[in-house]
Amino acid sequence: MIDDDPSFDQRLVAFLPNLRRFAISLCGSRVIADDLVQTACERALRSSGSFDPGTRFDAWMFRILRNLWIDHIRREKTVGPAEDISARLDLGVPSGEAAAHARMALADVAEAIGQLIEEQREVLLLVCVEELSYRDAAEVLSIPIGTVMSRLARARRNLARLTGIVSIDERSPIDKDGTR
Amino acid sequence: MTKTTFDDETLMAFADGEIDEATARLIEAAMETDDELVPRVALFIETRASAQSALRPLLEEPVPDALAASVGRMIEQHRAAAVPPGSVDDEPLPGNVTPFKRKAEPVEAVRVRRWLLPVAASVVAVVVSALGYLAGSSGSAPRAFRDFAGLTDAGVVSALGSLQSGEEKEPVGIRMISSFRDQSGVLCREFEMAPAAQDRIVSVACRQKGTWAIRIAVVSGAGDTSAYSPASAQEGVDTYLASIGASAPLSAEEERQALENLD
Repeated sequence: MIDDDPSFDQRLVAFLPNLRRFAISLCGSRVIADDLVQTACERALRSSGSFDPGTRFDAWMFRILRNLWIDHIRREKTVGPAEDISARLDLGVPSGEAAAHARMALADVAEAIGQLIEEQREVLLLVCVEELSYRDAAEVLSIPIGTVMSRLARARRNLARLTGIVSIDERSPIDKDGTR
Repeated sequence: MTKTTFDDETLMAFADGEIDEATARLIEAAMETDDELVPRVALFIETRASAQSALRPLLEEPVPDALAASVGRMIEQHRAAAVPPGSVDDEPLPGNVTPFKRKAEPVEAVRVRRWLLPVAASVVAVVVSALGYLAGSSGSAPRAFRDFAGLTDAGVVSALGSLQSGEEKEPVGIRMISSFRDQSGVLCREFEMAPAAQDRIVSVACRQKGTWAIRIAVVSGAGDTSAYSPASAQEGVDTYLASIGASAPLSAEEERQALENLD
């Protein structure tokens, strides 16, 4: 394992947008997010020798960043709802009413994601946005796959309800154990 | 007839392409007769897609100069230090982080899994527009969707088997877009339907065992307030086409021959 393998550095740089998106969505603040990303990069570079190039780089980086976020929360002792990340989204300026509706609707979804509780938001981000498998997400979060799935299902039902994407019959969610 | 109840997590795994083949077949079969399943699966497909759409701008945002510069510096310093592995300065990963043992999957394989949408005569779309079709309160809406996305409509079946690409057929409101073959050589056709003034369904059907099976149908509405733009609907279909190894469109002559020689 070469410590200063250039392709590791390249992967890191190429991955910054994904890392940043995950961080911003986790903590709801670009300022904190960029700080986390920076620290995550430091950690990653220092531990680059431990990274097996044949394995999932994205999952490895997400794990580092997410652990830093957990540390941050513990230090700050605040786990309030995320700031309104939709306010920080600049969705560009397409013209027309349809586009305006689309823009509002997109902001609604981002806002709704920000309103999810932490554990639901992070699985939603990893699986649905960053497209990790259930198994990889479970490894990032150090939880069983079953827990990933139950949180993910709840996250998506809540998201659908919050955004009115689907009109939910409140009686319809069917969990294995009958709970919602 | 007993009805198997699939819990939400099973349907979610199905929608995410994370379920085994056998169960997937069971669910597909069940969806043909059980209207309640369709909106439940649609919820998971829809929320996945909307989460992606909503957060795509964040991915496309340029990395702030300050951050990029800082990471650049770190990389420089790291290279300059160039300590051999195993030395004191090679920090172990924090906490109980263990290196991932599993090999990375090729990107294409992951993508195919994501598009494990049901292959069945009547089914679910990645729904882009208002889900009146799929989440109807009375259960009539799923049926309505099935009626035009499903191929029990003789008009649609007839169009698929006879119209050339670029041709339209009124009053069914169906227009052929292109014909191609998937990676197994199966003949498929991309077509669109305009069942209502504002809605448009782009769909792909493939010829299997003497019938046309819908592989994907994406509904997009021109004036709706959903989270999608029509562009992402086409993108959805394009991604699907890439995942099945769609060939380039058949020429007019190739298409004519293929339609003449349907099984």
